[in-house]
Amino acid sequence: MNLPLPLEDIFFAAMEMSSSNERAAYLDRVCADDKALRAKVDRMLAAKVHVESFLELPAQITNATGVAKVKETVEMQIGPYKLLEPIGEGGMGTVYMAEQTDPVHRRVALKLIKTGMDTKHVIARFEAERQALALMDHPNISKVYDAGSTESGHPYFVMELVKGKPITEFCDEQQLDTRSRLELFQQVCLGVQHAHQKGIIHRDIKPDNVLVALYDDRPVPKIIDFGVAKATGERLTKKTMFTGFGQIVGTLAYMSPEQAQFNQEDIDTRCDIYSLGAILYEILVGEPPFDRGKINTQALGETLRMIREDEPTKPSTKLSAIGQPGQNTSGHSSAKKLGLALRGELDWIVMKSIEKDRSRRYGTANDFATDIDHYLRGETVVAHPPSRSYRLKKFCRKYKGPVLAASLIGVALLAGIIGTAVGLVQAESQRQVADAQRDRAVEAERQASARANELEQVSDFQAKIFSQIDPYTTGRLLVEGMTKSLDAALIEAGLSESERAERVKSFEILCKNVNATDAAVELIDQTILNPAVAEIDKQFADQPVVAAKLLEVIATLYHDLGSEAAALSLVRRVLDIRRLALGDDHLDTIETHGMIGVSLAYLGRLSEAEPYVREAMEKIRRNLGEEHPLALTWKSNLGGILSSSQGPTEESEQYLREALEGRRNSLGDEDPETLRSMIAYAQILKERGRIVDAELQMRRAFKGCRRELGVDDFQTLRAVNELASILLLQGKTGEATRMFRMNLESTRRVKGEEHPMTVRALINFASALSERGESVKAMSHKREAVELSRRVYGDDHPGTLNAINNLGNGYLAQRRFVVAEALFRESLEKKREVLGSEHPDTLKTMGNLGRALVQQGKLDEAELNLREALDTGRRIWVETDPNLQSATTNFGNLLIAQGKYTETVELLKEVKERLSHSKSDGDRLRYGNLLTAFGKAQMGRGEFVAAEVSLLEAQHLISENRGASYNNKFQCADAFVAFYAAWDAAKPGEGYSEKQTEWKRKLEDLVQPESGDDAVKGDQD
Amino acid sequence: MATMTDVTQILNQIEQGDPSASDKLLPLLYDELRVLARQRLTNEKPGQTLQATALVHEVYLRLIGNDNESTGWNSRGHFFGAAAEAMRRILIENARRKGRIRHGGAGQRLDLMECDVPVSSSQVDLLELDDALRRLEAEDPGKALLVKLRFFAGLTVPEAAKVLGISVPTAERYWIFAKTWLFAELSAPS
Repeated sequence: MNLPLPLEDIFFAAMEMSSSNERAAYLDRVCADDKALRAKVDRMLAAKVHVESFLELPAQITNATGVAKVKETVEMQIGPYKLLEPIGEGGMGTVYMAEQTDPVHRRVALKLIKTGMDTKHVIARFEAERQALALMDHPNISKVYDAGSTESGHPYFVMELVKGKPITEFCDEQQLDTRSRLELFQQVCLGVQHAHQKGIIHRDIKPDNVLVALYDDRPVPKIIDFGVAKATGERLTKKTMFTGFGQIVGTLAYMSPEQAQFNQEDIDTRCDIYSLGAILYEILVGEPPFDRGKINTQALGETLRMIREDEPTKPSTKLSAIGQPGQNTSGHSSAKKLGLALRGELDWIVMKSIEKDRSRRYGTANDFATDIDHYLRGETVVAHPPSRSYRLKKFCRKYKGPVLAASLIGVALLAGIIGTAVGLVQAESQRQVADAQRDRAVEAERQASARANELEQVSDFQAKIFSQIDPYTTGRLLVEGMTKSLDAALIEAGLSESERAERVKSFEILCKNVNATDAAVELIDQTILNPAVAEIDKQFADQPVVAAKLLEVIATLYHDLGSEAAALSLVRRVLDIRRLALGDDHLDTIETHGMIGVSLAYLGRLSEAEPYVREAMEKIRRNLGEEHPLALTWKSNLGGILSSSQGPTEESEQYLREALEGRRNSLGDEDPETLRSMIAYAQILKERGRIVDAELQMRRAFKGCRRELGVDDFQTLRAVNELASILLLQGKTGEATRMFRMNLESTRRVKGEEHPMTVRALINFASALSERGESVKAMSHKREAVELSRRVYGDDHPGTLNAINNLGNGYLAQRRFVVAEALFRESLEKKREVLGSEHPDTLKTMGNLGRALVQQGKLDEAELNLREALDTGRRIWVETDPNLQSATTNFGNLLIAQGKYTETVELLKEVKERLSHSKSDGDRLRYGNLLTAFGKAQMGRGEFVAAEVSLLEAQHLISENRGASYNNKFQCADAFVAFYAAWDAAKPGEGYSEKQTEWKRKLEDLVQPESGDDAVKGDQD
Repeated sequence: MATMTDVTQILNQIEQGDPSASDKLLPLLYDELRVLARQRLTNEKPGQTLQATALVHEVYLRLIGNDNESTGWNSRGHFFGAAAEAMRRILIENARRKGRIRHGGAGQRLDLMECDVPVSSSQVDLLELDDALRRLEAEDPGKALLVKLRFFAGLTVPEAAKVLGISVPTAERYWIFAKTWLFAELSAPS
């Protein structure tokens, strides 16, 4: 190319020039006739405002879809196997029916492992056992033919195809009686025995791996997956705790205690005996020894501990607890009869097979089957109930298990809280012995409350210690501790220094990928809270008031950790206990009742929450007087919940104001309680449209919090968040974005990734970025926010619904209306359900849906939504509320689309007047958008000169505004094109057609939506 | 899996002027990164994202270590240049494969949990970006490499400047130019 100057120099020179005339002249000169060059420079200059964040966030990889895709793909070939259809799905992968053509033609089952395993090792481990596997030949064992890896590196196993049902299902469906069940089960034992004789341990026997099919009308069980568990089975390591343990969950209910520990070493055939026993348990009772629900919900560590230590209920006892036949009792004709049959010898047989100590189990599967045979023939069985001394020994052993390094903190605390309480109770019970003959019912009650008083101080002290548990620090200590113990272990293993350094380094890298705070939350739950609840239950079974107090402490801690559902279920228990022990009118009972409401509110179940809190507030106010600190607390709670559930009503403002004034009078301005009230009150002022007052109050609250509580305190973080929201509303986007960013960073650090406060901070930060015009970053944060809120809050939580709305706004700003519409619909539908149709947040989404519909020409439906939003909005918002202004403009745009120009002008006049005086960025952009609509309406009425003035003003306001979206600009330019076309038609030959062409070009020059320009100013984010 | 010595050896060979050595580096890093990406993603829920550049750095730490002194900037340059290119290829391949599936192409390959849709941060169509990047490369290879180092290998501007052997202000200027150039290219009427 023969350029006079390199493109780079031209570009930078032109960029320096501030006047557009100067720039045009310069470009004319240097580009001369090179049209391509000129076009490129022009495009680059136009692009320069958009590239600030372009490519700044490095590329990302995602795994969008999982197994579903495989099902869609019609024919798939893996080696010599053609996949026909999926026949089962498990934790480890999907099982397909497949056709083998070479070397023989047959149907087989192909199990495709989906988890990220080291394929080479899996195959190697399989190969090591292949010979042994080939030797197995038994009617109750399904053969394993082959193993290999797919092109994409996933291991698979090929097995004999068994078309059967899991043994538990089969028994229930066929309504087998106890004898038939036992006989069927004996066959399973024989299969296992055969394998054991060939030196093969299954390691993962569970109902899903024991399939029963009818052969000549005779049920034959077949055990599948021999060799698979060993080949794929990563042993449980501490790493498993972090890297997800999804694949073992289905197995846990049948896993032997020796397998249920980290770094388990010697596994022998007796682990299969245990699993067989667990299956027999389920066949007889309808449930495995340990509650499946518990296994699914509680932390892994706790489940493993349970498997290792807890004594399962005897089958007969479990059966009578389960109750009615036909529900869970394996289809037995009479639970009672079965219970009788089970009690005694059959109980012993089952319990012997699932002994914790494997030396006390049956030595072989054959022995197991034989003892069942004894039972069936009415002979004496080998199994017998454990002796007393044995039980005692076991009890002692249970309490000296190995403890994770970091959990020491927890154990110390736990020992503290339980220990002190136990001491008191023991002293108490000695006294109790002295006057044992008294009227117990009355005395117990009196003592309970006396003790509660004593313990109040103790547990308050303990609660303070508990509340100092800080997941952030614990997380850091955890990583440090583990690194140290790893290093120590490596030294012991005799590794050289450099080898050690390498291992430790790679461990540290591993840890960096884990949010230590989240891990700590999990750990605190497992090692402190969960055991604490169990201990409290045990130690204070006959001290309900004390137990309630302690459980309440734990509930509070759960709340602080963001595990609200766990907190709620504990509070419910506390309420039940206090109702019984103290009566409905006791202050503690009343407050606990209210706490249920508070907890519900945190879970987003606002309408359920209100009655609880209102009742608590009314009762306390009546009993203690309006100005009592507790009355103020509950007024504040009620005000907060009302403002979330019904929007910022007069009533909610009143409660919050009363609480604030009361606290100011009694506690002074600096007290944390007063500060909290200050935040809440400022928040409601904001929501009621009194923005300037709100900002003033919130700044005061923020400064107070920072001074009195420190920057990382919960209240301070809240104040920062709210202050930033207020600033954003006023269009002070720079300061707001900075504060939101700061808030997000501190919250993430202090509370962890998966905490509701972090989610909220992320949502808000993304919104602020949008308003700053940093659309690319905003969009990716918005997506992350939706994902995270679904996970942390759940699908129906108002927070999630707002996150969805905001993402919709992002798409709307890019003029990607279809996606936007879908998101708004999802959000609106649920908001109507969860928040009701008159809630401000519902109205905002309604308005947004309306906007998306207008843009797509779906005017009738748009009108329904926009009219409802405007009518309701007029009722609940004051005239100056930006939300109402947006609702009005939205409706104006609808009227224009309907050709109702005069009505538009009438509608918008008033808001236009008000906005024209405002100086804030937000208002000026809103004003620009309004003028675009206004100009179109004027044009429709034939007032061309006035319309041009409006549009030019609109264009000026929008182009100078950093937060203006692609959609804002597009609408304005589009209005110009239409306008000059209309003017040209009315007055041809006056040069308007040229202006039309010019605007057409400007419209085309606007950056395309895919480029991620997405600010959401002027809408109702 | 490659080991530390493999890579440092290759880097040494490159430094000593062995022209065939650099051909070995790219495939090695390519495999390493693909395996790592798959490991990281297969245990995650669908839709999980991770930063491509974090993978590059992890591979760096594993294969070279964190010892800035012993590894000269020249070697680091070779490493990151190759890693950026490897990562680019992985992302582009995935983007292409995704395109095929979406258009109902023949899905005879079984790609269960390959890292799938590349979501570049900006939602730019990665394939389009790559086309543009090739055009930039044709006109100005240095600036294209800068983009690769930043976007696919996650180097900061000062780091990339060191790798390219230019000053930081120059790198800043190149970066702005390259971004704007690419953006203009992407927004050009096709």
